[in-house]
Amino acid sequence: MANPFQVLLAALAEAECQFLLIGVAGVNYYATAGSVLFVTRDRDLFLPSGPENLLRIWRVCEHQRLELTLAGEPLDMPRDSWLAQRVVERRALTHARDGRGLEVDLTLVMSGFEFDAVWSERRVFIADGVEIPVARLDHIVQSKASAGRPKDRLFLATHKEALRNLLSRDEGTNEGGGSP
Amino acid sequence: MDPETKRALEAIDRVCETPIETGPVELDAEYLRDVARVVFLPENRPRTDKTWVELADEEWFAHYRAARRK
Repeated sequence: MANPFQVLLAALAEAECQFLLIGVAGVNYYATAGSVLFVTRDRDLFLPSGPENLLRIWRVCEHQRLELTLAGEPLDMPRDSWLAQRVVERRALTHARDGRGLEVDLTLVMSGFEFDAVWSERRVFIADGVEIPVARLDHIVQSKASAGRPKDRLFLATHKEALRNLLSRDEGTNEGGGSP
Repeated sequence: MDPETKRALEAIDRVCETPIETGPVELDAEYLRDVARVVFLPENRPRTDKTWVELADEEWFAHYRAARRK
């Protein structure tokens, strides 16, 4: 397993961290063909609002030699429960990167949703033997609609068209006597 | 500046001056139905192997990392 994201997720799971893949990278896990994959470097992990979980995740990231930043500055030291509590209170986003292309946002916010509701309906996929807990596609899409930033609007318009094309093609195949 | 480049730059300026809409978006029923269908496709059953998703992503970036200006 050489993919650094999968290595990170495997380590997070081993440390019993709780997280969900959301955002465009999460949407990609529901793709059934390359034509509905969206190119993104960012991986968004949605975390519950518990400082101990956040602290465990920071420690795993450090162990994986990822650089941790908050608002563009290196995450403060010492990285302890006190700091994790302050970050959780402010719902601040921590960013982890390896400098070689892996970019992970550790977010405590998913617009329009609470963690437990999304967690309870997550879907687990497997990639290279690693379990990837992913938010449900409709939750991700509705969250993007709720946030409504320009990049979300662009994504929604493109995703809508890509899904329609994909499903229309499948319908055409099925009408022609293909398997359901 | 050649006329084609001038027109292209003017087009970019016009886009930059266009106000960008932000705020919640209402999703239409057809899109929501399509999303629901995709969630329950056989290819998206729980514990489906999706290794290909990460591989495709890596290949895409490797391809463009290797691109060189002629």
